[in-house]
This record gives sequence, structure tokens and C-alpha cells, in this order.
Amino acid sequence: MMDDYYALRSGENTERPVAYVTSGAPVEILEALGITTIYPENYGALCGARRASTPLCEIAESKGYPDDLCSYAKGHLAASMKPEKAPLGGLPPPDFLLCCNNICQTVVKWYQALSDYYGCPLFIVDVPFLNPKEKPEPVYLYLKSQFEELVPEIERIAQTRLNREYLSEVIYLSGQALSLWTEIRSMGRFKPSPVNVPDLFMAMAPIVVMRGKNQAVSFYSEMLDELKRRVTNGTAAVPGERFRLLWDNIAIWPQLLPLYRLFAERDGCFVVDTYTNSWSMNFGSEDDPFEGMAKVYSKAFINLDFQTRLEIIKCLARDYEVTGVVMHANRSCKPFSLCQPLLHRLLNKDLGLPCLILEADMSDTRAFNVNATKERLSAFMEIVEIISES
Amino acid sequence: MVSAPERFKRVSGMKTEELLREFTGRKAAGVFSAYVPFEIYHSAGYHPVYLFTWGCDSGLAAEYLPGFCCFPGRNLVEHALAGELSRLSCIVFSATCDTVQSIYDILKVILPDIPVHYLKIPALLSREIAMEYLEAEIDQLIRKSGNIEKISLRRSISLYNEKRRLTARLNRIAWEITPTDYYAIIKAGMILPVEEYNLTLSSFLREIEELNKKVSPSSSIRLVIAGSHFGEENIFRIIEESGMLVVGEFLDGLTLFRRGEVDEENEPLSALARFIFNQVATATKVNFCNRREDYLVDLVREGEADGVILLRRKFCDPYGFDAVLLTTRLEEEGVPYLIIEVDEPGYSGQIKTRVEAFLEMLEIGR
Ligand code: SF4
Repeated sequence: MMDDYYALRSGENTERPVAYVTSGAPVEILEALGITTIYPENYGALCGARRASTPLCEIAESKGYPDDLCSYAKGHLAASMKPEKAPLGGLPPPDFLLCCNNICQTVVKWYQALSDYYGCPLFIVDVPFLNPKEKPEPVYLYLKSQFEELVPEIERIAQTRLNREYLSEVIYLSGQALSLWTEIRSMGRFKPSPVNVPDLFMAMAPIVVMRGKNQAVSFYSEMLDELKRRVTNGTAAVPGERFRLLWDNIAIWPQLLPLYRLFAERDGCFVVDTYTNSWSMNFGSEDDPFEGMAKVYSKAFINLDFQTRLEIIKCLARDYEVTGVVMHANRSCKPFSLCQPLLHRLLNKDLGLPCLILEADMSDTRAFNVNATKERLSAFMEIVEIISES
Repeated sequence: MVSAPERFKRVSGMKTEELLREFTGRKAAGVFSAYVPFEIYHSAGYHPVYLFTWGCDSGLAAEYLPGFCCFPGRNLVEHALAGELSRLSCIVFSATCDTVQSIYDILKVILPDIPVHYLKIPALLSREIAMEYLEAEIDQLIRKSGNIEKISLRRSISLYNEKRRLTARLNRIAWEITPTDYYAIIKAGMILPVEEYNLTLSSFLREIEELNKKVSPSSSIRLVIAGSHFGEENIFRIIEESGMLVVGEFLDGLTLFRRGEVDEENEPLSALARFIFNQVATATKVNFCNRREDYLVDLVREGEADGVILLRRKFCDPYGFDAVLLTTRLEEEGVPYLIIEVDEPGYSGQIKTRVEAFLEMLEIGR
């Protein structure tokens, strides 16, 4: 499915106009206007999984980008500058860029650099940091006005007018995919879990890049059916599951399967995670489509204040009967990672949960030490075992 | 009586706790990030004081932050854990980067008794709808900081405008004072009560302006210093020891606002919002109408600078990207530059050697 997706986005095959968009952008507007969307973050994950990210980062570093900068950004900028050195021969150049900062502020700088490089327009959907306990209405209003302002800009590029009814259909489809995804994730509540988080990581691309399309809905319907069958048959994602773990942060793509195998070998199954939780949302039943979008996109997990995120994680830990937490201290992603030591303390103190913090990077292999990780992982699993059995 | 530079040097060398002890008369508001209008806190009866970095890592923050957090963030958490912020009546952040957002979250947990405020600054500072949103945010901040009468806010705005005019005068003669004096004066402006600062700076400027009528311009190498800076003096000291002059600074974190004044005729709330909008954005924001690279090049031209020293903060995404943006433009303009990566402060022989090599290069270029 993703091969087809990228095949339609390569060279001559690419239908224009093309927009690069961030993973948490209100893509329904573009979808309804017939824009071809491309997600550089998804491409970053692809490069990471193919272990192609580090050489690309090195290219970006040779152009002056520091070695401690986000590896998705560096990898993608390098792929833009030197497509011949990049997987899939890089991505087709964009006609415009849509950046939404509900996932981090770094994307704003990354997209600004892309806009300078390609000389194409950059549209920014600015989502202020949200503490749902403080009045969120001004944020919703601000977002709605931005959507209103964005539409004529994209209409001009697309050379067509937005059909609001069609937009509602796209939002409906998007909402269906999001609900299915939420249900899929909730299957981890079963014991044994029919799904392990690496399965979710491998299956998450459509929810990121195909929201608002039929393919996403049919793909996730099938996946959900399969998981339900597994539950009926008592099929465990990790045979002999004894420990139920929570994963925090983006995947370590270059180590995806080897790393999780190490846990599985010790009967540890990741039943839930915080990263794929970002797409567990609901458009609600707002009459005004922009109202629903404003609410959904401002509540992206990583755009919430720490206390709210802590509460969400505690709920997940209770609901999924988690016995240990593994946090990926991701050098590339500060909003996900900087509060982890505090999170570690509080989960330990309030829920008695053992936690392991693994320092690595989502796509740059230089930040991951296999042997040190193996040692720490063994020690951690011993603690999980002792605590679970006590 | 101590001279103005001595006074400025003394306060700029003080750690936050010492400062707060010196100014015990008023409740103090500690400000950590750019864009916070000091006027608001001043008019609410606070002494707003910028929380510059101080000292080196002691390891305390490692319990709360991973190693890849920038030094200013680590340093603030260290001070909070060491109890050095306990005299503050509130702490104010603004939405700048992801790190600031996390540090705000962490401080709320480790300092439960101190109110922590957060001003949400739009990411894109060149569109009207963002202005409206910012006005509403400033209004919220005003409510959080206490009961502020419009008249007292106007008075504070006027005092800070006066400070801006004095700073503009100082910048015009920056090259006539030593880099460390210049640094101390700018930094003291973020620390001292504005009334004292204005008074001391204006008499100092009068003296210097008078004196310099008789002095012919120095032929030393002239530098603009730019980048991310949170109060480390060493780089200015190294520049001074190398015999160079600083003719302009573009250091976010050392100076919060650098363009124009708050309109005193206008309604204070919208005047403050408009003022923020008219600024050259920090590296954490985008302003399509007021680009940072243009501002830097103007600064170089106005100060007839020979080159630029750019401080790039380790583990800092916004200034990492910004360095490429700025240096690309400097290269186009043929302006020589030196990038220095900064983390923990400390007098580094390696930095000194690089600065001296840069000086030699500039001299040959002349
Ligand atoms: S802008 Fe950079 S130096 Fe400043 S707090 Fe954020 S990450 Fe740290």
C-alpha cells in the first residue's frame, strides 16, 4: 500500500499541485481541494527504517546543520539537496508547504528552510500549546480563523473552489479512519494482547498520510477484523506474554524489529504506546467542520501540557494493565523527551511502575548503542519480573 | 560613589539569588524567555528580572532532564532545584521553543508554591489574526499578574520606552566602549529596576558622548555578535582581549526587543501586541515581513563591521536552523563570519584561539 502511495508520488507520476505537510496538519482541507500531499516525517521514518538516515544527516551536517538537530529534518533536507543519495530518489519538489506546529516548534524552522530552498510558499497553521483545564476557546477561535484564511490561499494554488459538502465527506472519512485506529489500539487491552506496538508502528503510515481517503478506512477495517479474530482465537502477539509494557515516544526506526524482539524474548509485549495515541482522536459532531478540526488538531498529544499528558499516560497504564514503561529519550524530539525523567519519577511514585529510559534517536543510528541497551534492558526486565510477581 | 560601568558590571555579575537579595523591597517576577513585556509586571508592582544563566552544571538537573537539553534550560532547572528561585513571586515564560515549553512544565511541578505564567506567542508574527490572538493572550497575562490600572501600565510603558531610547543611543556608540562594558550595560538593563537603569545609563551616555567628541575613531576590527545568548560574559571578554570592538549585538536572550517603541498614544494592550509584532522575530518565530537575515546584514552595514561572530547554542533546534539561514545570507553578502558553538559557559582556550585566528583573517581581509 505504501509502495503504491510513493509510486504515485515519484517523478512524472506525481499529480500536481504537490504539498509537503506535517503529520498533524489539517490535511482534510488539502484533500478536499485535490492536492497531492507528501509527508516528510513519514519519509524520515522510511529513511530511518532503511538505515539510510545517518548518511543523509551527515550530508546536512556538511552544509552547516548541527549534529544535534532533528534527524528527520536533516535527513529530509539532505534528500532535497541530494536526491540521488536518498531512498526513492528523494521526493518530488513541492508547489507549497503546509506546516502545523501542533507536534513541535522545530517543524516551523524545518519548513522555513524548505521554503527558502524550494522558493515556494509556506503556510503555517499555528496551534498554541494547550492546557485543556484553562479555557481553550480562544485557541479554537484562533485556529478557525486560520483555516478560513488558509482556504482561499490553497484554492488559488489548486485553481478550484472548496466544496464544503465534499470537505464534510472527507472529514467523515478521516473521522472513520481515526475511530478505527482508536479501536485497533484499544485491542491491546485484551490479555494476551493480539497486537504489539511495533505492529502499530508498521501499520500507522496510512493514518498519518491517508487521512480522508477510502484506502485508509478499508485498510484499518481489515486490520481490526484480523485483530478481533486473533482475540477470538486467543492468539497472542507475543506468545507466552507475561509482561505488559507501555512505550513512550516515537519508534527507534532503525532498530524496530531487533529491539522489540529483545523484549519479546523476555515475554514482554508492548500493549500500548503514546506515539500512535496522537491519532486517536474524534472530530465530534460539530456542524461547522472547522470547529471540529480546531478541537482535534489542537489536542494532539504532544501539544498538551505535561499534567494532562501525565493523566493520559496514567489512564493508559491502568486501562491496559501495564507492568512496566519504556521511554525512548529521543535526541531528535525534545517535546516528547524533555519531561521523561519527571514522568519516570511520577509514574514510579504514583503507580509503582518500573521505568526504563533508553537514549537513542528515531532515525539516526549514531545515537544508539546496541550493547549498552541490551544490558540495561535485561536489568530492567528483571525488575519488571520481580515487581510483577511480588 | 561607584561609576556607572562599575555598577552595571557588579549587577551583571550577580547570580539571581544575590540580585533578589539586593532588591528585596519589591516582589520579583523572573522572566525566562523572549517576548514577555516587562511593562506588565512593572505596572503590577513587580521588579521584573531576566533569569540569565549562572554557573555551570552541578549535575542536579540530570535528575529531571536528559543530557540533550540546552544549557539555559538545564541551568534554570538547577537553580530551581537548588532553591535559588524561591524569592521570586512568579516566573514568566513565553511560547518560544519546545525546550521552554518543557521547562515551564517541569518548573510547575518542582516549584509548586510559585505561580508560573506562560504567554503564548504566535509562531507566525506577520498576520493580523495572530495579532488579535496575541492581544487576548496579553490580556490574560495582565489578569494573572494582578490588578493593573491602565494609567499605571501607561506609566510603565513610558519608562520602558525611555529605556529603549537610551539603549538605541548606547548601540550607536557601542564601539567606543569596551566589549565587556557594553555587555554589562546591556545585561544590567534586563536586571536592574528600570528607574535606576535609566538614570544611570543616561548620565553615563552623556559623559561618553561628551568625551568621544574629542576622540578619533579606533581602527580596531569591528564585530557584530549574534545568536543565542543567555548571559555568558566570556565571549565578550575574549573579543576584548583580542583587541576587537563590538559594534552591534543581535543576541536573542540578551535583548528582548530591539525595534521601535510601544505606541504611547494607543490603547496599551494593542500597543504592546503591535510592538511585539513589529520586532525582528527571534529564531524561534517566523516573520515574513521582518526577516532576521536582513536585520543582521543591516546591522553589519550600519556598524561598518568587518565580520560576525555567531553563537550557536548546543542542543538548540531553532538557533541550529537559524545559523544556516544567517550564514547563507552572510556568504551572499561576502561578510566573513565565525560560528562558535556554546554550551556551558567557561573561559575556553580553544574559543580564544579560534577568535584570534578569525581576527587575523579579518585583518588580512582589510
Ligand atoms: S531557543 Fe534554544 S537555547 Fe533557547 S531555550 Fe530554546 S532550545 Fe534552549
